[in-house]
Amino acid sequence: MLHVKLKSFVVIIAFAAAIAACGDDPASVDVDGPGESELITSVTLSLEELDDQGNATGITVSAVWDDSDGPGGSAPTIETLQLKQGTTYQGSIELLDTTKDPVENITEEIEEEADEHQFFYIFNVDGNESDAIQVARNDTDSQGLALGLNYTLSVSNDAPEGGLRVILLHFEDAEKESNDFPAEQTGIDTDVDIEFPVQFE
Amino acid sequence: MKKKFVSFFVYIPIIISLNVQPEAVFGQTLADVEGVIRDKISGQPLPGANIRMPELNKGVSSDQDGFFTINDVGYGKYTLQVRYVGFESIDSLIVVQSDTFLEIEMNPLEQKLDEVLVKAGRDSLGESTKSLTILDKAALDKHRGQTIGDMVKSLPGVTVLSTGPSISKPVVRGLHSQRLVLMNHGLAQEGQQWGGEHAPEIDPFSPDRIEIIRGASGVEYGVGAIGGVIRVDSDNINKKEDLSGELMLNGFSNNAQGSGSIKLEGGLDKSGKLGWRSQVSYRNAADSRTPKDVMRNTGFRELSYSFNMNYEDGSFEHDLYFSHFGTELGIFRGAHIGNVSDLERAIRLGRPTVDFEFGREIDNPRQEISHDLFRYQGKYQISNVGRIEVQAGWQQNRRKEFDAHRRFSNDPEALQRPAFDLELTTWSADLKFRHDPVFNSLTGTVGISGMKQGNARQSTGSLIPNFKSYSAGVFVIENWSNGIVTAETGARFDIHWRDVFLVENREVQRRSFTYNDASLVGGITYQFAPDWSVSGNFGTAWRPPGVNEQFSDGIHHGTAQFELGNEDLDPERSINIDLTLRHVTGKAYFQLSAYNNFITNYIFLQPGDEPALTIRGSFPFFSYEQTDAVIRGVDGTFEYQLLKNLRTSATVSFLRGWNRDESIPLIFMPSDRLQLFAHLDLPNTGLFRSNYLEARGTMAREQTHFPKGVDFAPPPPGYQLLDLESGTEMEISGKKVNLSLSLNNVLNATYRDYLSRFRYFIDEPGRSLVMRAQLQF
Repeated sequence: MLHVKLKSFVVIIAFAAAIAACGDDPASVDVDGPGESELITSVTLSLEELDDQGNATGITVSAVWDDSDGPGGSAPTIETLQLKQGTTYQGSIELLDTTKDPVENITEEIEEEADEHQFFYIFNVDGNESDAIQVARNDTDSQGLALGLNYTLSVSNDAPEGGLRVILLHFEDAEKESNDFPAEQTGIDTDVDIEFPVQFE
Repeated sequence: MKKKFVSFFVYIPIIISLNVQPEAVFGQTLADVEGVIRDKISGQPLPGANIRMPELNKGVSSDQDGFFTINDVGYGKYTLQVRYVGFESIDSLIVVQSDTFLEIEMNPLEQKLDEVLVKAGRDSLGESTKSLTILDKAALDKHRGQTIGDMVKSLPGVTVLSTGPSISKPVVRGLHSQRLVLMNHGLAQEGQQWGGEHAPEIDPFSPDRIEIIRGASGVEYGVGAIGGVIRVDSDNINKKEDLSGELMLNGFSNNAQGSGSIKLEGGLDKSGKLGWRSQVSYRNAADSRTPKDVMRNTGFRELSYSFNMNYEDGSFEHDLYFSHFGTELGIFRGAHIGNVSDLERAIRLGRPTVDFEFGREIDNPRQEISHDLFRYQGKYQISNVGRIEVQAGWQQNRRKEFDAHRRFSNDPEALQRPAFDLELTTWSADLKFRHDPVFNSLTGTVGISGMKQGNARQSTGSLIPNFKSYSAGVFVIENWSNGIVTAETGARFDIHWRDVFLVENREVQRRSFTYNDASLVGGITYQFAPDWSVSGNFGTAWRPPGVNEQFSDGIHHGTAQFELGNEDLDPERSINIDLTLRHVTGKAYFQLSAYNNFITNYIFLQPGDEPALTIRGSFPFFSYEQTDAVIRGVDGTFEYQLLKNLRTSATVSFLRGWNRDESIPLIFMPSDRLQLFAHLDLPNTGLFRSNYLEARGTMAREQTHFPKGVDFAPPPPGYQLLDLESGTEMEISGKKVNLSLSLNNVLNATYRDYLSRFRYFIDEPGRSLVMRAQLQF
């Protein structure tokens, strides 16, 4: 009798051990897996000089703010925007997710969802807002509110060096209501908030 | 009154029949069951023992002279349970067919430390040397439908860390997550406690008893029991009937929550050796509402089930337990932010400017969590030697978190992918030997335990790297008592190996770590007067650093902070001293504890000088560092039977945490609080019996003790809450039905708690009407 009971003991333990053996092996890591989802890893400003009549001159300048491994890891690389005083540019912005293969162009998605997105371009000198560089957004969404994928950037004659701050807001739950920065609304996600150093030739 | 005297011998449960008569008369007439409880050795009466008749859901405590009375018991066959700390529990069948007097002798010599803690119906005098509190089934039933955290937060020294209505984590004396051990039906729950928004993965309908041990308990419960232990257990299966069970239903007005549970159990053979139990429970809630706003996306859907089989034959016992916990829960939309500017704007505006619509849908951000647990327990009693116990467990925890940062993708599948998907598999085995008394009254346990754990990242998310770990431990604990003095001491040694698989430049890097250390416990309880005892306990426990504390490298979007791990962290150690004073009489119950918990190498997030720069903006930078910390406090419960039908109690929790290296307060420590409670028994009216009215007031002070300049917003002001409840009991075709109606936050107070992670964004939920129905069959 005792043996039968001991046997049932062993059988049950063996059964438990068999179940225990299930589960994925942590050692086999999928190194090519998508990893942490970083949405935007690279922002490029592309500017083309305009002449006094407002015509394109073909002279271009660009700067890239890149953090291809996302937050943490290596520090982002930030290029300086080399501009000319007393000059007006026409500009565009491109956002990429370079962690995906092929690289995901996020600019197009923002264009499709223009009603939920808005760019802000702010020139800062020593941490204070300055109008020495002014940016006018040239495109709008379906309600006629500014979007900001395309813009005109004007540098005054005596502009000091500083930083051009680029903000992309995503109106997640809140309604996009105006062209001004929505300081009195919650329910908005900041997707991008970066600053490009600005220097003059 | 005709009295019958019966003696109980308590080595194993026995059946006592008092003139067994045909069953036909049962249930017809009422009788009183009275008795006295004595220590079998000394013959002294045992005041404060807990006597229950589970079938009737009736329970009383013995008075100063060990006497008890249970009135109005219908003629029939019942289980009588007697519990007293330091004594072997009694589970016996009694037959009532007239007024009955029982003389019950409890044997102190079979005392076993672990079980003493479990089986105590209530914390009483001759008690463990630790500070502990037990919530029995009746107390838990009052909170059915709520989370485990909400069930225990009325206890002294216990608060919750919440992330909205669906996520609440118990905090014991200021410590939580990886600093507590959660014992789920005998197994240490191995869930994913990486952060404040990761709640324990346990069905809140499943426990019949929750016990909280405050203070380091590393010897008995192993690595991690720095702050304390929460034990969740079920009652023994009722094998005496072919089928019995319980149905519970509840509704909550605030979040339109409906929830319920059904439990069935029975014996499978005539001898009552084999029994089974099965339980299914479900909770479904829509958005919660504060007095002003809708907390959009705070609903949840939770389906859990369990199955238990028990076979007991003489000296053998086998017990199989399987449980599944599954939940899908939303995180408040307004708490979702892109960067610090968004958070600062939300704090400045004070409440959401979006008028959210009340709804039941669960959108991103959300979590999908499942936890499966399988456990076998075997016991073998060798007469005059002791008992061997084996336990084998397997657990699998799957956690998927879906971010609200929407992917910019045209691929619909990509949009459905979680941002974080981890599977943690644990298996464990324990072997224990509890020896019978030697040298008159020395009992004890020796044991070994082993654990293997693997964390595998599923398709996405690498917040927590893959890892494998192995642990092994060996312990001994001994207990001695002469009825007046109880002393315990024990030691344990554990070793923990960990291999972490990091991905760097598309290559797997393996890092190996080994941690080992000892845990100790020593304590003494002295019953210096018949109604009074004092206990002192010294305990030390340790834990290795968590994988998240070693390898975090990114933004925690809930808190808008950049967290960087440190793989060279040393193990954390708690050295806790606890003094407890107890007083138990028929009318009063009093427990007051003071403690001093030194924690060396306390792991915490230290704010850095430079913010972390990301494409979303700059985030405050925090890195995991270590310091020497201390948490000191006082907590206790004072209960007094003011009138024959009026019971009142007060519970206090008061603590201070210090970072000793920098002489600044520790962040996120619960504020001081006081709870006042009154229970009024009302006369029976017609069908309605055991009527009652209850009121509970909670007062939480503003936390004024916090490090300056670290948090985004100062702690919220203190608050007062009032809850009311009324309940009754009736019998419908011989089945017992309990009904209750509660009104929580009666005054619809607008408040925020310092330990709520939503306090930056929105108030806590407002008034809620709760209906509960319970049917036993």
